[in-house]
Amino acid sequence: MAKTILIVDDSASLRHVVETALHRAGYDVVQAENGQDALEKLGTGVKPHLIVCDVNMPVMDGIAFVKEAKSLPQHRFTPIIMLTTESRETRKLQAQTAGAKAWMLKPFKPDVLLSAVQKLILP
Amino acid sequence: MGVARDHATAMMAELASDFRIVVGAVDSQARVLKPSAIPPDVKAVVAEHAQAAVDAIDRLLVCLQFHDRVDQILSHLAENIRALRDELTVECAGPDDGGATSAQRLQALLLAMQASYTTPEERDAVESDRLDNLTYF
Repeated sequence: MAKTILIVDDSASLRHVVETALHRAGYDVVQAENGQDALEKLGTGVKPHLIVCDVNMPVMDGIAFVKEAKSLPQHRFTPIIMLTTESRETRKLQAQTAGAKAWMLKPFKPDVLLSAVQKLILP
Repeated sequence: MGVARDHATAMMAELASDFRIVVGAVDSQARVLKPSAIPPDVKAVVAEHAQAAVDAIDRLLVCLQFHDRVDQILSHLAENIRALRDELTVECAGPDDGGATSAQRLQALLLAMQASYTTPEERDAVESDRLDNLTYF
């Protein structure tokens, strides 16, 4: 059974690019357009094996989402990769403190993202 | 590019305004006073306006350089989009057994694009697979 990855990004084109890369590698993908939307998806029973999340988004940003997701018992150990154009060390540290497992800068190479996913995804 | 252009336009308007103030001040004083008779306070006002104009010019020069760089990047982007369109036209025309493969043509296209880059931002984009693009916590 294919593993599921939740993509959280306010850019539809970026979600499509990530989804294409992950689909080709055999993963199922669920999309959310901001942190709030992602929390609602998790609330409806979506149980991703890994989450790829942008940092700067409207409604609820990526850091706030990571904090909220990590406070949910069923998603406490779900690995989260931050995929962002944000390069400020302070934001990176906030993501790490909130519980993210990796920080990847856009533009990304699909094979680099895939290697990170394969390294971190839950068994 | 729109933001840079707006900023440059605003700076030019500000600069023009400063020049008008300086010219107006000097002109009005010149009409009634001989240069040697200009009071110190008037000299100070004129000097202040002149300095404001110099500062505006300095800022404008920085803005224009930024605008030029963005313009350069967009120019490369437009050229590269045209090159990609041409390449896709060739690709859609069907296989050419006597020529280079799609992968070879794509690689050549990418190398040609990279060779045209002149700004640090463009070169950084090419090096997006650098290891420091990914950090594990």
